[in-house]
Amino acid sequence: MKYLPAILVGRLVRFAVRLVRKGGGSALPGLILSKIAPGLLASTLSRFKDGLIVVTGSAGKSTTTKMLVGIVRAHGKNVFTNPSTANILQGFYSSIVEQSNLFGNIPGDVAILEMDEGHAELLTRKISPRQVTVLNVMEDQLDRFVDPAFVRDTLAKVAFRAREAVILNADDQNMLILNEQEPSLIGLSWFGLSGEVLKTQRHGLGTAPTFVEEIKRPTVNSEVVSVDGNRIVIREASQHSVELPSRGLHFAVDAVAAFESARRYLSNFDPELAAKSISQMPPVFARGQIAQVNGEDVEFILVQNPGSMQLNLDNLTTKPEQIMFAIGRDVHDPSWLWTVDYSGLSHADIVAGFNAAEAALVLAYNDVPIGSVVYDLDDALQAFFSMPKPKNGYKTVVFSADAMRRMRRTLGFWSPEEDVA
Amino acid sequence: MTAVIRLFPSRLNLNGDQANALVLQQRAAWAGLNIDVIDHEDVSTLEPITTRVQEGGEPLVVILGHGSRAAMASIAHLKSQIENFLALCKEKSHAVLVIGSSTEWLLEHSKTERVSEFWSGFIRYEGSEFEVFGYLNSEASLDAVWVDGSLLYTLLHGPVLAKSSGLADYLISRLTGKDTKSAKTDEILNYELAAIRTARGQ
Repeated sequence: MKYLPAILVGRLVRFAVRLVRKGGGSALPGLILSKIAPGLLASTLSRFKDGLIVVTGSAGKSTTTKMLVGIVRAHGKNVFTNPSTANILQGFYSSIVEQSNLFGNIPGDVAILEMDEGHAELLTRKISPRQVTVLNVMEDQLDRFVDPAFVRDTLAKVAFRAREAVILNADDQNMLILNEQEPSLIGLSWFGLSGEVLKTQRHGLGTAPTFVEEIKRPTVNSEVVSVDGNRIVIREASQHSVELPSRGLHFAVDAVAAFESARRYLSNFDPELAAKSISQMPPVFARGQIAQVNGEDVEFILVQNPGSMQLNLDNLTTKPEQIMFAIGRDVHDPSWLWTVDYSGLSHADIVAGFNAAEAALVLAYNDVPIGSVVYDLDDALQAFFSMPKPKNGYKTVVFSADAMRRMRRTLGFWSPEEDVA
Repeated sequence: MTAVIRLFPSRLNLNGDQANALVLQQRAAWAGLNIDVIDHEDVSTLEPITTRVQEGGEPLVVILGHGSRAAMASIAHLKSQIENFLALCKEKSHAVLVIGSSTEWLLEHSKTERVSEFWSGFIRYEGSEFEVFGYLNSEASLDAVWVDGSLLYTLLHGPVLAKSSGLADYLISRLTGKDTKSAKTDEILNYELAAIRTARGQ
């Protein structure tokens, strides 16, 4: 009963906002709820009988969480999770507005949440997670985090709050440094890519370099041992073939992280069922997803930091004929655009978004031919989708998170379930 | 041979700082001029490039970029060598651009509250005045830009010269003795000015 008035207010606000903007209205209720009922989140999350599982790190959180949730559900568990992009505190409150009853209760055995690095540290002060998966540390959001070492220190705090299990990436030296802290992490296990697989990635996995003597890689519990297009093989006790939802080695990392995380949580873990579950997963929006716009296929690629930009550009296996490159308002300091090797980007037909000028500047200095720079995103979309269908392949849109959200609204790809933050 | 020397470019590139060399090289190339970029990655010694500066007569621009705490720690043992090298560059009138955390590292300062913002201002550099633009994220109690002879220290990070093309062209003219104006630099100027307007919220 304690939270009934607050939840009613949240729902009323959500209803009002959605009257005005179709597909929107999810961020404000969460923000209001976090102010008027700050204890609600920890209270709600503490009621799941199997507790809270956290997936965090610089990159790959959304896909890994979706894969993990899929595996756990396939094993018969009822899961509460947050939509991709709703991985900060107000997003969690928004999810409660969406999914709880009037008393703040959400049905389910377990909560599996992807969490922004900073917000994971804040939330786990109030509720100790059962299990924490840390994917990586990248040179990401430096205007906010300043230095990758601060991110690593923050993630270490989250990992050390786990009650039963911690799952780390053996191919990120930052994780190995994190593991050197005292006391020992509880229930530690590792996931990773074999040396042979790692060698195929020209720029590595994009994790933040540590510039110290390399720490010996630990024995890995779940490992990707081969990659052939979208098909990978994960070796645990035995080998399991998995079809990734999209191409790219970063998806292989996400898959093996989800696989190992599920193995640690589920007492009835069936590796074949886990592999099948990942293979059946539809792509997370804009993580290499092919969608239909005006009757033609379009590939959407989300880039959020130097690592994800580099990995995605390196994995443009087909040379797209038509490319839109949109960098939005979420990139507060676009300096990081200048750390990327653009040799994998043949051209950009349209450069768009709030930071279009900076994007055009960096592409021009890197000799990437530019068709036009269109500052208004809606105009840019109209221009791009007015282009005739490419002779081969499909149109490709590379965009940052803000440009993605705006584009989704304009194109009608809205989903209250997914578009919360 | 005119050259830009980048010190530890793979380490000191946290915010794309090494792209300052790209800006100089490309602007020169668009004007038909050649500038070599020489990378010094060896963290055991600065001797080869120190010798080059001592013996060579060609004009140089040296770039010391912005690195993470880990990167700065990895070159900490070279601090006195770097200070001596910069003093030598100043004596020989070679231009040096010291960026972000390298400026904090080399200049004595106290700490204040961290500031993260877009910065613009005028500087006098060797008798000429330039407008400088860039992003700043620092807690050091230092001026955003500080000039000591031919050495230019800035707390700004990233590709400062990309949005401060007047200064970039001045450095190129020091290196080559020639003007860099070209059709491409005119085209780029539009992007540059628009990027500055965006960063300023205009």
